[in-house]
Amino acid sequence: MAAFASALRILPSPPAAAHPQQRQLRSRERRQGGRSRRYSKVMAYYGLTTPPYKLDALEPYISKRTVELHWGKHHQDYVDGLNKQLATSMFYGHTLEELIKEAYNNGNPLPEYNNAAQVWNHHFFWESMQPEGGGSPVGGVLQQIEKDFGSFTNFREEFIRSALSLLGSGWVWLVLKRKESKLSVVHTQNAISPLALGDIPIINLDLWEHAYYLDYKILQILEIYGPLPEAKDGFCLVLQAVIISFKIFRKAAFETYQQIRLALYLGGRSGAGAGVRASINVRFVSMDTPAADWSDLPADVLGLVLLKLEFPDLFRSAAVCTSWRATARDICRLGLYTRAQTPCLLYTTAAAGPRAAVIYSLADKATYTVRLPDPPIAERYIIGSSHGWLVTADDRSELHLLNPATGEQLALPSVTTVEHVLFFDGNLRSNDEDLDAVTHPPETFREFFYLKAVISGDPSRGDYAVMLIHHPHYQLSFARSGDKKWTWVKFENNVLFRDCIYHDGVFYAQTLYAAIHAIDVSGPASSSFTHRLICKPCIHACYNVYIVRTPEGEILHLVRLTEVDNDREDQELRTAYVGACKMDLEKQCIKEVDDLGGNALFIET
Amino acid sequence: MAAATDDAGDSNEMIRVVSSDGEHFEMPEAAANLSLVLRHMIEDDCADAAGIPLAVVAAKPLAKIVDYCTKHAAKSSGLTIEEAEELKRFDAEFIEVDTDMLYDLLVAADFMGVEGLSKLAVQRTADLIKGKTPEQNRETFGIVNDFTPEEEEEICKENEWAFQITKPPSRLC
Repeated sequence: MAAFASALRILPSPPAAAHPQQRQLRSRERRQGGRSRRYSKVMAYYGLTTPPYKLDALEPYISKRTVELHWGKHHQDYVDGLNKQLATSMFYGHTLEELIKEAYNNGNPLPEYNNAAQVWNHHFFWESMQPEGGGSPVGGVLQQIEKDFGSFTNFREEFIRSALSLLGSGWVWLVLKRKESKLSVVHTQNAISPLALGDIPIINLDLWEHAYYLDYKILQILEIYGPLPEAKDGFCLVLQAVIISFKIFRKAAFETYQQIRLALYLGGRSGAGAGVRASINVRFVSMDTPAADWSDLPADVLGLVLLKLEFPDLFRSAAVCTSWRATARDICRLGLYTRAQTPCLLYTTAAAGPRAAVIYSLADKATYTVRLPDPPIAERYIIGSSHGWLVTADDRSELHLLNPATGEQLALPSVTTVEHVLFFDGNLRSNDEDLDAVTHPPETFREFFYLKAVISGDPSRGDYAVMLIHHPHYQLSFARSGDKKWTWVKFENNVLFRDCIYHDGVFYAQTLYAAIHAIDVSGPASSSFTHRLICKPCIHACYNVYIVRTPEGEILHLVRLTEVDNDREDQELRTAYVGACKMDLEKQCIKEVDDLGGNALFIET
Repeated sequence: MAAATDDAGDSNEMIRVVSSDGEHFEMPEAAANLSLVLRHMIEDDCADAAGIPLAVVAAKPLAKIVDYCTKHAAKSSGLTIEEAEELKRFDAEFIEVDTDMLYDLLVAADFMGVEGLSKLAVQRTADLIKGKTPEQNRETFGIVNDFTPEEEEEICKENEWAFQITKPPSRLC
């Protein structure tokens, strides 16, 4: 060790306090009981960081001699080489991460790149191992490995495969892919670092021959493992290297994943180095800063907080500072923000004008006035609402999807494309073979025609379908995103639909006779659907049937029977009976229930 | 390995943890098990007399976390209604802290994987944010407005409505 104390050159960097390499070094010195530092007065260079263990600590897997040579000579050479270049380089004063990214120069590396990346890669390599390491990682990263690779064993195999398929010298990495939000195994040639490619390294393995050749010789490996396919020097060295690496990978290196997992999901705003800086800082940065900096709250933790907010609070949080804004936008963009919202009341007023809606938030006990795109909201009918979106019918009876919170709007296929609608003489006419056709001007057709509309999912999150219940004869028609026309859900005999709900990929539509049909419109061909009867008709025609989802995610099927109230002079109808059934989605049947499990249900009368 | 007390059986061994600023704390193993990170360290036999070093958790929040875990571990299963109520009261009082401590607890609980505490701190933070304008939130959390004028303009255009909070007179029927 003593020989290497002199090799540890700490070399000053401007501005010293803010330099990550220096910070690392200082905490390391503290850990190792302090060491005199030699600063040159003006110039600043990178220093060689010491592995966080004694040089013989990785034995028997990596010998002291190998570490002495690998770290003391090879790693040191890269540091010296880099410092030499920096004396006359435009990159003087950059942090190492910045230097690597900029010197990579989009794949046309500048002269400083190789040394800089190798300094960092080696530093990370030493950090990736620990005495008595190895074994399965823990916590969040293990879950993520199981999610992305199937199992730890699969991951290990993929790591080995990746190592074996690397031609020549280089590195194998477990990285977090920033864009895909998943873990991945990659190998890089020579000095290339995933940092430069925007990924976030978790662990790495040096596959330069200099890392192992002292310890592992081909004959020795053959002795241990027997003859191997393609038993060439390089192949065996690599295989051996990977096998030993899994005995000494640093568990804590996996743990830092916990810190950066959402920095990945939410990352991107501080560039490619953010995750790495985080991963290094987690280990080295001192926490005795005096006051908390809430704009610097780790993005994953801030994300958890913002996910708890109702949408008006989320929108306001996005206007606090740039980091909060980035996180708020990312959780929306990535579809992570799925919080159930307290219901809001939406209405229009003369004071707000025809183009604005007023939202009363029950959660905030406050009102907001929202300006919305044309056609004027006050002149539209609202025929459905799901996932925070409205389905509206304008004064030409045309349908739109409208998100009142964001102002997003999507036009649905024209009403004239519904099977039952004809357009002539400036009037809309519902076409009916058996009964009298009904003709209306476009502005009043909507009053007669539309009963209800249901959306399958949040349209801003991609594909969706809208199911329409309409006249004549309580029919169903649907349109999927991108469709140019409505498709009629046609049955041989006349089936009359009264209510509909979307649940878990399927529309459940309820008939006037309290039958339930499951209708799946997600097939590959547009305008095709599959159909299954869940529950047979069980009552005489009843207009008061409802299908609802409870907060627990159960589907309730309700029937309200009425009778004439003879006590009243006007002989008004009164409710005589309400029956509720729960749908068993696995067995695809219904079962009567006696209570609503502590929920309250409001139905129209 | 982890026995800091001589007579401790397997189930009530004391676990030592060391804060980033070098202070030592002790808690029963059941309490330490509430932290995912500590639990894994204990399972891997990393808990020894020297203590588990927590390089990113300072003594101040760590003391609170040890309190939280000790309290919750003592009353983990088979709670009576009264005990559950008492634990709720403990949580409510526990999280009544200033924003500096709240920040430390948020970060440390997430790092150490103490799920209950993490949820508690996240909810407390969300409650502090609720119903406030961006300026009020900057004040609460001591955040500097670092938007450029162009960004300010863009923010005003989208979701402008959310910044005008109108409280109608409370006249409920």
